Amino acid sequence: MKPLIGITTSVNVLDYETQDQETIMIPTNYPKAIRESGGISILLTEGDDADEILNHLDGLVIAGGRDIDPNLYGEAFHNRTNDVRPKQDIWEIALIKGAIKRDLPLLCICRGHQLLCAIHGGKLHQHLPETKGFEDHGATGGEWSSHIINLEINSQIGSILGNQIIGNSGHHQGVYEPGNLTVVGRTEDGLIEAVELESQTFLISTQWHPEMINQRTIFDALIEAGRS
Amino acid sequence: MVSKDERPIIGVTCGIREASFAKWKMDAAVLPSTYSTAIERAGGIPLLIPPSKYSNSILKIINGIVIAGGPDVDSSAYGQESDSLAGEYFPEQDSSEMALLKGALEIDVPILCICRGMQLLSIIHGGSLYQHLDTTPGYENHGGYDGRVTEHQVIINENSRIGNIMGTEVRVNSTHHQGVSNAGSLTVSAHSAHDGLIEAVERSDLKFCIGVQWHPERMGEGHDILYHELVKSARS
Repeated sequence: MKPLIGITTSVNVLDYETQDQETIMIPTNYPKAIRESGGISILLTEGDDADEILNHLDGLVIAGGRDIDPNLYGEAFHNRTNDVRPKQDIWEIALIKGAIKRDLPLLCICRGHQLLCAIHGGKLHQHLPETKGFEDHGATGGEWSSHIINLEINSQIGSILGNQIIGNSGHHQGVYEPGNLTVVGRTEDGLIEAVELESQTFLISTQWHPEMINQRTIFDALIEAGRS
Repeated sequence: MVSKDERPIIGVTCGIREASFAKWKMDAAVLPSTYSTAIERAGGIPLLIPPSKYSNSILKIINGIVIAGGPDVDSSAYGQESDSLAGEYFPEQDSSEMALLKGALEIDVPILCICRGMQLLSIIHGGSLYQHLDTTPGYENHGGYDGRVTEHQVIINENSRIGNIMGTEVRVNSTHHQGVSNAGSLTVSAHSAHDGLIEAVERSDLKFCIGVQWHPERMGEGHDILYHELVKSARS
């Protein structure tokens, strides 16, 4: 039986079927990665159903997307923080908490990584290009760059990817304080690129986008965890 | 099977398009959120089903299904050459949704088919389509398409399932350029008042299997009744 993996989606306004249509969307890289590693994707959409749907899943991916509400980590809005959608934050936080409560295999990517950190007491820089020491972290605004990420070899992600990888980078916010999570990956400027939570059997949380760079072993591991 | 106070899970099919948001541009699974909000209002939990060879595995966790509107169906599915005015085809979506529909019909999962969904339902029951209403004699003024939405009256058969739900006459939206010319072995349950085009089909031998050419999810809460009935049926 192939494991069923839920993937979160975002609601954006697009010209699709009609003009300025509120559209649920998720880049196909995510379901493609799940499929190629032997899972079945189910796309979850924002609502108040978090707890019920988790009972039917074998694993969960909190996908990349928009900025999270800075109130979640107790800070005022930076003028470059934009497009926040508290409704989506609340829904995904409930999913993350529900997955942790159930020890459901969990993969948090980019926005998902930031949200995971924020609800564990972590903090974000709201605009890296204007944050001292992180000005050259990477590309933003729809552009992509790549950089070295050093991983803890004794971590879950280190056991999958080794102690150093080249990750992709296309985000303007980033985690600098991990709260009660364990930091297991950083770029050379010190930004927190991967964290884990000891109590969770399978939790991988990355600032980079493994689904875009065909980092298949991460998805293989998620599917494998979803089988058991 | 879900208990009375649990919310049934309703799968909705979605398409894949190159989408851009802010500055990124990539292939994305997309669905107007009108579907998911209508399902939520009706008391169901919406789940999106992207095109996949394995979409049928989802049947084991869903209690009901919506085959959503979308692109034209490849005309070879009903044995016709493609009309030059047909839109772009998405073969992976066609085959995924047809397999899903057949699987759902086989195990009698409650089904609501919208627009393209109703056309697919008709095709797998041996039906066929008009490929471009604007150039089909008798249907030149059927209604809006290509993003333009018009309205017209629909006459519903009194003795049909949808007639029991909606009554015998209803005003609906219209935004499609293809239409069902022959519903195969399905029961035709409604026609548009002004030109007689097939507007709703159903199968009375199943728990709930209704197809409509219009988009009830875009018409506000007053038109939620079909989604409510789908969810009710998914719960029983």
